[in-house]
Amino acid sequence: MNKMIKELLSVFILSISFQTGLTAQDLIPVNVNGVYGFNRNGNTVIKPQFLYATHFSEGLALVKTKTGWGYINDQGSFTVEPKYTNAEPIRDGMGKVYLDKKCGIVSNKGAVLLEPIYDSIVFGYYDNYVYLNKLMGQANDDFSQITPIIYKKFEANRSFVSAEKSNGLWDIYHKDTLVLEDLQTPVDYDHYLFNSNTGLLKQNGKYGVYRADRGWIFEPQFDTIIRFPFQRHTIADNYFDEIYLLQNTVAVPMSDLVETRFKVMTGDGNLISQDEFLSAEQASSIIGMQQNNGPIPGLFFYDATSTTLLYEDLSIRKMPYNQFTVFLNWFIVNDGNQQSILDAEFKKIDSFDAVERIVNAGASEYYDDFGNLMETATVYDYLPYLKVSKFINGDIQSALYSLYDKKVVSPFMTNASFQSSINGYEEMFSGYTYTGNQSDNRGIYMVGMEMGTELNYLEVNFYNNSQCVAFNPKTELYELLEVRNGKLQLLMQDYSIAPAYTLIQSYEFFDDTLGEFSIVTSQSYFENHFMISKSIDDKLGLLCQNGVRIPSEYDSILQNVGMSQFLDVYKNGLYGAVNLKTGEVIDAVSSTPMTLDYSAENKTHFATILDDNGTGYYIGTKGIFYSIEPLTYSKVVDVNGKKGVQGFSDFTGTSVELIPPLYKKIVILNDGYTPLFVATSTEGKIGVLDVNGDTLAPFEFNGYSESFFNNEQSILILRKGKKEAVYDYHHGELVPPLYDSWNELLDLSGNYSFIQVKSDKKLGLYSMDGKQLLPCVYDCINVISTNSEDMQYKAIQVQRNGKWWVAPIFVPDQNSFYYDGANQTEIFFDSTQFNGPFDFLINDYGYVQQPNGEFISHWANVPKAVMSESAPFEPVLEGALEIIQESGKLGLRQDGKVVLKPTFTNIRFYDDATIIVSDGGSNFYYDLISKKRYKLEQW
Amino acid sequence: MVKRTVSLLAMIGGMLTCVAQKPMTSQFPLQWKTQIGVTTYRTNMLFHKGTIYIGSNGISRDNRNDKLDGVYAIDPKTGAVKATYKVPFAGDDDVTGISIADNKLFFGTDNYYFFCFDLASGQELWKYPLPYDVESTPVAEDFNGDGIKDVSFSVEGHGFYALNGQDGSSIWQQDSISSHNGNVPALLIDVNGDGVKDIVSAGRGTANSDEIDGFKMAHYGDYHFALNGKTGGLLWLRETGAGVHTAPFAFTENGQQRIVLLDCYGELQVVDLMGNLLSRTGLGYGWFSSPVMTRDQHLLVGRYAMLYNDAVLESTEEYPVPYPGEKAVVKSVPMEDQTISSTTMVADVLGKGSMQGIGVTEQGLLFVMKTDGTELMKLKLPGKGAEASVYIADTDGDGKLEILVADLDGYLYCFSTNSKGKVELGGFKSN
Repeated sequence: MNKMIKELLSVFILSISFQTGLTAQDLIPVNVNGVYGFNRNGNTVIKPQFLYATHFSEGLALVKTKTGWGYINDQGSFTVEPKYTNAEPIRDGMGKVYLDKKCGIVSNKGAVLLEPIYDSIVFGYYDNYVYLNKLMGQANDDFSQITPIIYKKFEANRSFVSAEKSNGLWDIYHKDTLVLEDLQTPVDYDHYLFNSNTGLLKQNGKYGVYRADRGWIFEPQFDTIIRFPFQRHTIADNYFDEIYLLQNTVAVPMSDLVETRFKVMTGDGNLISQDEFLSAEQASSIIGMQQNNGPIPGLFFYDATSTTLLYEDLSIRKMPYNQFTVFLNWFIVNDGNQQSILDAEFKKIDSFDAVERIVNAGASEYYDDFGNLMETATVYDYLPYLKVSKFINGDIQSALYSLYDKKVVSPFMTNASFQSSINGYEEMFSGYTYTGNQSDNRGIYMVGMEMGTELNYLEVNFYNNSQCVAFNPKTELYELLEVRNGKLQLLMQDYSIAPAYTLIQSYEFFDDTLGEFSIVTSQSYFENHFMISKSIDDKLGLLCQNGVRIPSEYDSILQNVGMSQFLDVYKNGLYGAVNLKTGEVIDAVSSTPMTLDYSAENKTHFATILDDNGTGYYIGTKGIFYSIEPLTYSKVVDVNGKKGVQGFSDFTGTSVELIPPLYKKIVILNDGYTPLFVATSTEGKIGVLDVNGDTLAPFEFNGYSESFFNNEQSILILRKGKKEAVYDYHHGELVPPLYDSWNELLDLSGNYSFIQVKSDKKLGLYSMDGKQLLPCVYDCINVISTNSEDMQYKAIQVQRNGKWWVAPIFVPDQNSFYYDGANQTEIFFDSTQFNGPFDFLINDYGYVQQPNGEFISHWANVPKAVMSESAPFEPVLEGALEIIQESGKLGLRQDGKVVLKPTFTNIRFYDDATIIVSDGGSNFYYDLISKKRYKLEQW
Repeated sequence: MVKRTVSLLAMIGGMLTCVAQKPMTSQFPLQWKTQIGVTTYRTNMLFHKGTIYIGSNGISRDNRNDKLDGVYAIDPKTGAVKATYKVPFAGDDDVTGISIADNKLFFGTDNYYFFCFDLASGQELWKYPLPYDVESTPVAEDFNGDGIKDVSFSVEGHGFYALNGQDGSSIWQQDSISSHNGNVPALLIDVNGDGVKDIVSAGRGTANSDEIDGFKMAHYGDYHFALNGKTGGLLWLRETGAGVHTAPFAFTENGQQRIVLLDCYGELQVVDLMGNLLSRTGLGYGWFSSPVMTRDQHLLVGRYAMLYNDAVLESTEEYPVPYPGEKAVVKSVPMEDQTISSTTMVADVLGKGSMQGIGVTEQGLLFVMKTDGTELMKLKLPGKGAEASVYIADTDGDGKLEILVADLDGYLYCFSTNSKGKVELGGFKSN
């Protein structure tokens, strides 16, 4: 084969290779009779000729020939001549080659990146290293930069690399650039400085601070640099901001002495103060202050007249006093002959002859097991109060000072002593008691009081809710006191008063399931804090949460097994109950504890009590018994010509007045659950009252009728003039008396209702819970379901002036809507989300007529109602049905015949036999079988 | 019902009185020692046709071109190196685990290659390029049913491979499970009953794959899993809360095959062949040493870390399928200031007619214990200590057992015993 044919053939083979997507990686080294060639799919591509061969990697294969190792390309040509004594396969674009035990690097392009002159080359995880004569240099990724090969080791510390030379000195590189030479130490690993540019370095035995961008911040001059244990996390780089004490030995002026002194530097290399070195005492005080754990952590530097403070945020401020006590966010300073209180801004709040912190008496005395005082220690309150003193009539008298209120909050007393009270397991600070003036009595200051009391009390116990119980020696009774309007109010007075939980720990009941007595203790009683009183003859009473006082007349008070807001009260062998929240009392008439429950229909709690014959159901409201079925046992009574309502109890045989006899006429309405009373006032106006006598609808109507919604919810229609209002039996007004008429609008899936109101032929919309959704301005309103899986997502379609708009609406799950009389979730509807206008609507598509007369379709689905697609109008087919449009109106063809002329603006397929159409502001169903129209209500 | 005991070879630093250890040679005389380079806790030794085979990481485990890297064939009588199997080209040719089948030697290297050498000729038969290092121990089995043993192994971070023993071509590759860090030596056992041994190992899902045959990989620990030997497909998978470095171990209990799994944080699981949990217990942190179950149903496992918790091998109410075992006694052999990565072997090296557990520490002790955890002796090795498990067999044919220790000082030591006892488990992954 001559050379030209060979070349042509190789080009041909090469082109086939390209066309078939073959790569060098497909070539497999094969050993044929001791020599290696390369096969592809079993066919020889590079003939056996090598003493050894590896697989191709990154386009080259390492092969061995008689002359040495080299690299070939997929044509079998040498990219790197076979002259090396050994080599490694190409990896990451490079291959190590060895020549006479020296190592170099070639690239996968055949370039020699490093001549083989090195003892060793190591590819590191982050950096590469070259070794020569037992010394090393550091190389970058592609070995284009190498440090001098003069180092024993490298230490990386953030952006610094410290390189140790044979002589033990260190060169410092910052991001591959040599920045310092011949230092005694590497960048100090134990002293992370503020950022990656700053390093702590030692030169000639002295430490300095070096910043890569600024050079030496401090020339090496310090004997030691102490990392101050004051740390602050910075958002900037997640490293600690730190304070460093730069320690040095300096000559004491005017003497031969030297002293260790300090400068203070922040971690980013800024000196806090440019002043002279600080003394050891000052440095000690710095550290001492730091241990003070107060909310003003900082460093403090004194001079003769002032103090410089370094705050946590590294701001520096100067205070014109050099003797002070830092306390929380305040300072107590010596101010001439007085002591002053300064706020955090160093503004003077007040001055007294003396200002002291309050010693925590309880924590400052330590006793042995026999009650002997072993040790006293000064432990201060960390509360924002101080003891302030001044000379009054020659005596030093002291008072309590509130730092928050910035005023004295107790009387001034001689020999005053203050005791703070931390209350209960919640560890709430409640207030102080105090003594003085040689009195055994105590005064009380509670948080929120304008001024503490005189010394009027003994045995003060603080409780939650700004309450305390104190013994009044004058009356010899305990008093329950509460801070109200800045003063202590007397709530209850008795022989003894205690929190309920001291009396009510548990309740024993017979568990039918277990067949044994069980004991329960309700946590609710602890959470609903209240006080129980005990009279001198051991009778119990209590103070309810609304302040109603239940006199101490019960033998015992127990938890109610039904509801934790009730307590059982027991006297004369009978049980009654008390509503802790309202003070409502159910008389003690039952031989067994009552079970309390709530009647949503009657909007009241009721007690179930057992009579001798079985179970009797009674409601207790306003402290009176009557039947749970007021309708059955309610009767309109006439008293002097005025009508009222009385309820009769079949249990007690008593009657009770439900509605006082004030009305011209009363009609009892019953929806089967809840009685309502439609009363006509003497002025002839109609109003509605409930079983409690409360007004459900005001006396401003002149007519009414009963109705109900699709879900059987009972409603009242009240007429005011010619306008109609809609009222719910439980919730009162749903629709105000502003509209000509109303009707229930079922959404087109038929599973959710709205109230559609109408005035002047315009329509508006309310939700079933009385929320106005749409003003009364539309010609037609539809609600359609948009998501068959989740019926809570719907769309409202409105028509106005011949155009349609669509907006999403979310309605809550109807099943839980009226649960326990409360809305579980809210309807969400935002009328600004209306999308449109459309000339007409077909299903979820809105069609808009373009200026050229063509109709463009918009996908108007909800909940987003975003128009994302458009297309010209096309007849909409559904089986044999076809929606057609003509002159901007919609019609329907069935099996090719027009069954509805194109006069509609909205057509929606409902089911196989039904469509819903809108015409002239009305919606109706069209039955395709009977070919009849039905109004929605008829349907 | 069988009572099982966990014997923890735990060390309690500084708490126990240090007892002076006798030198190893006082109990077991040194027969020979040979320089082979350093080994790891995953290194195995094989005894094949009268020759000892062991892989070496060479002078150091770093990635330099290292003259001691390779596999050594050693005369068991003299310690002389009969042959070495080395990668012909330069690079980091560390070898950790080896396998021999059909008179062929299989091993992977840190040079991104897997090799097969013919033991008869010493010639390279084939090699296979890989994306990363092989740190695991290969296992040989006829996966493709051609009557020739094939080989399977994991590649660090790149899953499992099965290569045709005949020509080195790929049989299957399971790269949705990588072998993370530990490169757990696999257990070869027929899990699915198809007559071909499957692979039980541990690893972690690779970052570019969030599913393994339908299993979501939303998990930070490793997995124990079984791969179908025929196809590489996942047979079962169990999550762990930690990395896994230890090898799974199979044992028989009441005629049923069980597998012991242990993760680095000490969660020990006993599962059946299909990976169903039978019992589970927490042993505390720090496990590199693989658990072994003795035939008298004692679990022996050495511990690496300083922390130590008492543990019992029992079921708890948290797990719905209680293992039908009694509460087991825990007995620990305290190993002061020692760390154990090696797996404990089971043999009668003392010639007492009963089995002992034999292991080594990285600080240079060889310990011998009863299988119930009772300490018998601790002997000071002449070298530095070992990560690799000892190998116990009558290698020189004198009828007595030898103990081979691949020391971290780079030498393989052969110690004689006077025992003509039996060997229950003579080597780590030595089958």
